[in-house]
Amino acid sequence: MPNTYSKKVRRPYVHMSSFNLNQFHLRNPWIVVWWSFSFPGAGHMMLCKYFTGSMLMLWEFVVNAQSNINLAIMLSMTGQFEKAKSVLEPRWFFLYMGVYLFTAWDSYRLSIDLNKLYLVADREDASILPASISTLESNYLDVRKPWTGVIWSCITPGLGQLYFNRLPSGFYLLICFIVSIYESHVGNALLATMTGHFDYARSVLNPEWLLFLPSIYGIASYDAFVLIKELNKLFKIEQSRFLSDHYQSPKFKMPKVNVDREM
Amino acid sequence: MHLVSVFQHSIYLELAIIDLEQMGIAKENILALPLDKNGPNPPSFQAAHEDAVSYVDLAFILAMVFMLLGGIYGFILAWGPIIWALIGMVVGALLGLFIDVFILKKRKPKNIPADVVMMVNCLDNQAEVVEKILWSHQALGVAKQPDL
Repeated sequence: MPNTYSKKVRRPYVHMSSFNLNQFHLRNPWIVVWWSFSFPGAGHMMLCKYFTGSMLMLWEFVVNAQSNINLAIMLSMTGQFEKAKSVLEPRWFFLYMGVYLFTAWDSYRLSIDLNKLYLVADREDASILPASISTLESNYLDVRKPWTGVIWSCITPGLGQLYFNRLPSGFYLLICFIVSIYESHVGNALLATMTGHFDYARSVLNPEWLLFLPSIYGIASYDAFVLIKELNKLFKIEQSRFLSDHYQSPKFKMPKVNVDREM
Repeated sequence: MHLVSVFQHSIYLELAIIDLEQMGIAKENILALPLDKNGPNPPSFQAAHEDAVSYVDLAFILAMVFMLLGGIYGFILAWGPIIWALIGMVVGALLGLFIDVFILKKRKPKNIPADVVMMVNCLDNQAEVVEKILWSHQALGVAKQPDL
């Protein structure tokens, strides 16, 4: 039976569309939980649950910024406990905990489930579509360089995702990054730091928004590294299947070796 | 004449095959053998933890943690949060790599570039063109075996 692309699969593990490619692949659940703790929603985004992930990240931005959690973290860690108590906004603060714990638990549960589904699909040799074109976009499997994606995501989070055509997470992370940079006044602080005005840099920065940035950088670069590796694997699997189906004719004449010469 | 060549998986390989077919070499005279590089074991949860990715997990995680700490303590240290966050990121990444490589002794899995062995059976007078096509599509190596 030819095993190149067909639609009749009970257990799929790849969905290729022109705007995105969604896939199951093996993951260490604890790493996913770690990213969920560092930015609620990021774990889901890494599991390619783009809708859930972006909604949870939006929730994190709203509730964290309204209750000043990042600011309170900064103040507590630098020993200004009284200030930390006074900046926390109780109207929002108590909403935070339930969803925070849920995202971590749910991303652990999901990664275990998706690992199982991946293994089932892998045994079934679920089919892979190598390219997809639609009116506004195009997407294709190819061999890409993981570190190229990491470098672009370190320059501006989201660009690495655009490099391997994950448009939902790419543009979403890009927007998160732009809003955080603007709200935290990083541009002004960078200018002040480069010209040696460290006190001005400290006073102009808004820590509430600044502390979102390390997690955004972390998610964007790690996600790019992992997913480009997985995409390359998909390309290789798909091409091997194509070659095995079409270029392994039983009629192929193998070269004859001169047996007499050895005698 | 038989030409044996070794390729990496890439679109170039498919382009090479198309060129060979265009010059009149039949499908039955092209044999492409993709190498299975995982050994006889099917993928498992265990494999996911020993994958190339887990070799650098800690570098990304610690880079994020130290960047955050740099950003926080930059508010009370001399150079300000920007420089300390960047220092934190580099120190965290290096520390993560150091722990993975020297303490947990994770090794980068060996990566053999050869993915596909391709054999082409052609007439002696076609061999020169076939060889040129193989080399111009990023073959890693080509060998010629004249027929007896």
